[in-house]
Amino acid sequence: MTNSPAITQKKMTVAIIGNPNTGKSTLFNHLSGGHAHIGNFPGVTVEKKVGSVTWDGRSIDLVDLPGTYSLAPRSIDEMVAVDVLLGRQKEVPLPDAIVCIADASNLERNLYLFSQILDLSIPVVLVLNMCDLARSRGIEIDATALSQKLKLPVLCTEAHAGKGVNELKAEIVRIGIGEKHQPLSLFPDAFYHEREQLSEKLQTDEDGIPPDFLVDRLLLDVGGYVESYFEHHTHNGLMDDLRQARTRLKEAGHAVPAMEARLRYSWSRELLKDVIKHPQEHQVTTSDRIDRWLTHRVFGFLFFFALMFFVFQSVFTWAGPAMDLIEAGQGMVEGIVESLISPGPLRSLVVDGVVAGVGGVLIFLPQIVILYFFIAVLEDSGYMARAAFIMDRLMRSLGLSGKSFIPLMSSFACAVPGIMATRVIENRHERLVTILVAPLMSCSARWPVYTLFIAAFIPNIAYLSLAGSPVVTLQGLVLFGMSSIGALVAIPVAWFLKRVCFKGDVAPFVMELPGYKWPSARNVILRVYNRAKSFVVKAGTLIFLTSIIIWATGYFPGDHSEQFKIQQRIETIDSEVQKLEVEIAATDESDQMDLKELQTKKELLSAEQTELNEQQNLVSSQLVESSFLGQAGHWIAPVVKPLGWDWKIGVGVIASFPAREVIISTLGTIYSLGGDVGEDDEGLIGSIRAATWPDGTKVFNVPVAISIMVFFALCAQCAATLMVIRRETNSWLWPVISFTYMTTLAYVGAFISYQVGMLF
Amino acid sequence: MHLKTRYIVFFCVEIVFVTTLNQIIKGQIARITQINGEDAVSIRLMEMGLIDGEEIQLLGKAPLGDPLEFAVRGYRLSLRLNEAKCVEVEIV
Repeated sequence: MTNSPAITQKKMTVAIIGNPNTGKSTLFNHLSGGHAHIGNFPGVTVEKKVGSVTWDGRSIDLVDLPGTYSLAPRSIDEMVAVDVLLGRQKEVPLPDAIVCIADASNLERNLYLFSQILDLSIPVVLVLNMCDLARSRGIEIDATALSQKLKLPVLCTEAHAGKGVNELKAEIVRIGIGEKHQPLSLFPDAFYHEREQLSEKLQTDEDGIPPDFLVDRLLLDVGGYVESYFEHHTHNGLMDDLRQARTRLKEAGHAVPAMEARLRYSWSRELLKDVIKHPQEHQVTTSDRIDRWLTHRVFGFLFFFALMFFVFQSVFTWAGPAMDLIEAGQGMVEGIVESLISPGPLRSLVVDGVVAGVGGVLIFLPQIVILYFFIAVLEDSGYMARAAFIMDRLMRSLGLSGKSFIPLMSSFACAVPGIMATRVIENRHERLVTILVAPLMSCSARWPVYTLFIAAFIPNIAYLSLAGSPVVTLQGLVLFGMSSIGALVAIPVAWFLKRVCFKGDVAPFVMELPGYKWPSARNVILRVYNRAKSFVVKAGTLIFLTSIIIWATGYFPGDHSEQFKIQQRIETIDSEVQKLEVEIAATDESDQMDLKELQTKKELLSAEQTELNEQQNLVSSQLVESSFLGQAGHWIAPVVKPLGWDWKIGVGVIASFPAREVIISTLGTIYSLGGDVGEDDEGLIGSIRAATWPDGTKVFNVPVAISIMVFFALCAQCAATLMVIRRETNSWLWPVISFTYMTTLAYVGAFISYQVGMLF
Repeated sequence: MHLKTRYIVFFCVEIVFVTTLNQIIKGQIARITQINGEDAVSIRLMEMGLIDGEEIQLLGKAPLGDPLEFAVRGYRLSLRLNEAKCVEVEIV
């Protein structure tokens, strides 16, 4: 290294930009070694990926910008990329270099964005990615000639195979210390004259002179974000000046916005003239041939629905064993804690608060991993764009577009990855509507609630049997109804949000259909890993905290000493019974006297244990009733009365606000069984069936059961979902709105089901 | 030529040669003549390379007849009928 140490030691910022589907993320993953820190820009939904690396002794921050076709911002989200490139984002310094990634098989269009980047006059390296794909389509590119014409470095890479990555690293280190180049200046002199005049007028304002690039955008983007930004931040006459400037340009034959596209595209065509050799035009590719089948009127639909069915089926069946394993692990940890800590508040906190809370989150991890695996494979192979293409017509009747389909589908397993998947939707309003209705899709956490109440109250009547086994049953129909009620309610909700709240915003559906390719294992694994990690960390911390809070409100105030005494005694008996069992096993069968004595001893202990268990359940339920949670339950009793609920159900619902599954264990505790019951527990079903109001009438009947299920089908009882909504929208407003509207819907739905149900 | 015949010929020329992108049939190649409007859709279409003089081919339709899949500038682009309506083309 011949450079002075001051230059080599300076930390470099390199922005990576490119069109969507150019393999940008793959290349970024290779460059950053998979160690990217992901964060949101304040106030907007755009994700910022920064990877810190050191090459040749130079430390470099790689900033991955969202894929875009153009640097003409139409929304605040699109403005983020421009702000980063102009050094106007406080968190990211002005980039020392830009890496522009272009799809080698689609160079002409990709150079449109590149020509805009050239106007920023920041050192830039052009990367032609997927060179192998281009070659296989008969496209030959002379990168050296292109580099000479541009007087800029041009590299060929095959990111999915890691080819050309090292050359790119070396190039980035080298160009970082190079000189700034001149902007492209493609426009007629009249345009630059107008820009100068506008600049002078803008100069008087407090922000100082805006960069030339922004003034260009102001002039060029009719109705764009820059226009509305300056309109709010500068003197009043600006809009008039702007209109006059545009009129003058139009009269001179340079009408905006058409001028920019025409000039940039003719520049890129001219540039590529002797550099690129295309096969004969209108060639039918393999990708096209696959498309004729996969978007076929009949086979396209069949394939699509078969695929969706397969994905769902896999999420539920493959996840089963892993979920059982996590559950068993949770039980083991509980056992270890119980053997280490004697009964007391600390043990209760660890077992009922921490372990139960964290386990409650982790149990859904297998489903999320499997679902994200499929989403990553579908995205990487290029089918996701086709799914949006196929579903667009149907989704449009809701005021959404085909791009919303996959996020909503994912939400059937869990709304958390579903909401994260809305990132593919560029239109902000459409994305918000999708985020707001996603939690209505019946996620897997609602199933325990459905199965418990269906098993307890819906008679098992078979309507259709095949070879002796029932195919259509009343219980099955109710389960199906409960699972689809959310999706049905989502239709009017989406319609209302789109037509009333986000009126007048029709998002265009101008979408590239990328060529089909084999998904890269590296990409898929990294994406699944990142999603799983962010689920565990972000959702886990919040569920963890809320379960401790719920535990505390259910635990305090109250004297637990009697409960601990009983618990201690039960455990002593447990170990004694175990000892006896060992003795019984060891005793010779001929020694009838001893054996009998031991048996009687064991039976006595078991009887005492049963009695103690009942006693403990009674004490637990009394403690719950007198706790803050129980008091809250009594307090809200009048509110839930119209739904047919007593205070105990009310408590269960309050306790399950962090996560729906909690209702099972809460009901178990309150209905004198201790918290350790599963949804198929005969005891819980039995005691729920037997529960009565003070006047002796039964609490539960079919309308009450339906009302509870409908409430759980529609409510937003999931802290993880609300947390993800906050993260994805970067605002507390949207989780609050989601929670409020869904709870209202749930209440109204439960009210109607109970009141109507009671008429029969 | 008789005036009426001339009118009919002119009318037919209109139908055959000047039309909008949503009207072309599968496999047909058309040349873009003009994109109407300054709205977000038109700007997006121009950014995507739909410039006058460019050739565009309809490759197929989604199962419900909308959106459409086109080949333009060597890549595949999907547009709704509504957006295709903004693009004036002539059949080549």
